Amino acid sequence: MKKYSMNIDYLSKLANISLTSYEKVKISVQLRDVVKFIDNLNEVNSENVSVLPSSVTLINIFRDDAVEEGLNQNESLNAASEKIDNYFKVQQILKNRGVK
Amino acid sequence: MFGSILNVQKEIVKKNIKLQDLVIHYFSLIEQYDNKINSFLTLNKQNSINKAEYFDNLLEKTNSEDVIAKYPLIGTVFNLKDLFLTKGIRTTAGSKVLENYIPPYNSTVYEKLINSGAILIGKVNCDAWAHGSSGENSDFFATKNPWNLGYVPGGSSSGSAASVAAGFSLASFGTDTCGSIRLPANYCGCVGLKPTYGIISRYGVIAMASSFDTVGPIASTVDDVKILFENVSGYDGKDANVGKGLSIRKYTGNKPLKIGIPKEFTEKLEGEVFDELMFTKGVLEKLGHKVKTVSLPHTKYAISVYYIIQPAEVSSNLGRFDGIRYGYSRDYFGMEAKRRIILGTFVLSSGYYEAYYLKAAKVRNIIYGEMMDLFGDIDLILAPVAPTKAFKLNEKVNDPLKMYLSDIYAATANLTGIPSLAIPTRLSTDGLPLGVQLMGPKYSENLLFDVARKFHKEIEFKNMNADLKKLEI
Repeated sequence: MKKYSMNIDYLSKLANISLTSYEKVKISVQLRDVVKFIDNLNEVNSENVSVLPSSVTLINIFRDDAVEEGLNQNESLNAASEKIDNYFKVQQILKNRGVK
Repeated sequence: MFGSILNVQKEIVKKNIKLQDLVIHYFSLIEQYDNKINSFLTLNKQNSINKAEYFDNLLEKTNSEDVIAKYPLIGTVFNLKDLFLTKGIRTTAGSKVLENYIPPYNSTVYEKLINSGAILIGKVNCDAWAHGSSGENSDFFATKNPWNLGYVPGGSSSGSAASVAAGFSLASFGTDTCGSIRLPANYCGCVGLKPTYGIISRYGVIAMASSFDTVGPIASTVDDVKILFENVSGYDGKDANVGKGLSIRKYTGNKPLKIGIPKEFTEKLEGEVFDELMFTKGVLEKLGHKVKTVSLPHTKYAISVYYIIQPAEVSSNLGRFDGIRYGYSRDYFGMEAKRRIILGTFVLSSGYYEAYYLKAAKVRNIIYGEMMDLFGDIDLILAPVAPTKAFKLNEKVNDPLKMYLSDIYAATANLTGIPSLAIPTRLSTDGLPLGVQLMGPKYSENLLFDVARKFHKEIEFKNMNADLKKLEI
């Protein structure tokens, strides 16, 4: 198994989780113990073993092809923290290039 | 007041009881004592009193046996772990992220329960997002064990078990991803069922680790757990793992069974928890069953497998909480959720995926194969629920690995999808509940109920309800 190194800054960016410097240290130390523990899986020979996709036999489950009522616009928007004119308000992702 | 759902229903038939009085009785207990135990997050008072009034009127006008036939759970005053969506009633998952979230639709389990005549009196506390073994990871407050307020009730369905043991409700539903129903049931002296994976719909239940997640009842008696299970299981068209025409095996008769105790589950066990396992073994032998030692050699890796796959699935499931459509921003996640999201992101990240996630998924298959082989040889497994009885508040809170290891005997049933019933046995010398778990092949819930019921009858088990008067001291 690859030698353990956990780049906490990289991981928090991937997971979209902001961590204080105290949390970074604390989580790094605690997870080092956990990763050391789970490394015992190296003892197991899993050559030629397939992964277990599910503990139940999966079958296709279809409902009748009929229109069912879903949530209306009001119900869908009700729990949103910010909305404008019946739209969810989200943070800007693309920058307005060239516009000052 | 009446100890069990079935007893309440007997009183309803005899017209000795009004549901309104019953509901008010539970609210008065909650108002008097829950400030010590901290099991409820939200009360559903007026709604439940109105509901009770409706059923009282119905019972007055109609033959009570007809009403019970139509509403098989009438009289069931229950609560839900705050992971089950309840339309119009706040649902928090024990997290600040959802502190003020009011869901626009119902979970299937809630819908089935109220359609069967049960009355929801409130939503109860849990470890945030069901991450925890003690109840102390709730972002609001820690629930306490009603048997001794210095001890944890077990988690993550902490409020569920504590509220049933305290007599605040006849039943609760929790979720079990790795012992989260069985552990608190065990620590609080309740009966708790982790059902076969894919037998009860999880629609509308906030997901933790979807390949392990199950939902199930916690109550005071085996018969109550059985009737709750029967009324919520089965196809709803909304959970891809719950198929049509499930074949829950029927079980009748007194055939002597072959019961195995895996040696890997007892090697490090000591004290009263071990003694109680041996006591249970003795009683089962007296009832005519053959109990022998068996081996599941790879189950010693169960927790490692679980703490790779589970955080991986957690990091994915909690990805939806973006603070845009519902809930507050990701900054509101507590420490444990952050830890699991980071760990899950790590085991799935480029360069580590094969070494961790894929490896764990393979070892999971080895454990699954061992379990299926074992059930070719025996009918049931008898095991401890956890290495210890309830532990003290704050004992493990700063050592996540130690906390994770509380689930060491619970993990196997979740990894393999088999059902497991946690049953209380007796009290320890210091007055805390003890118990065991019975595991069977997939869809063998009826066998577990039957063996557990006969075991309880043999030991003349009386419902374990904590003495609330002691809390006044």
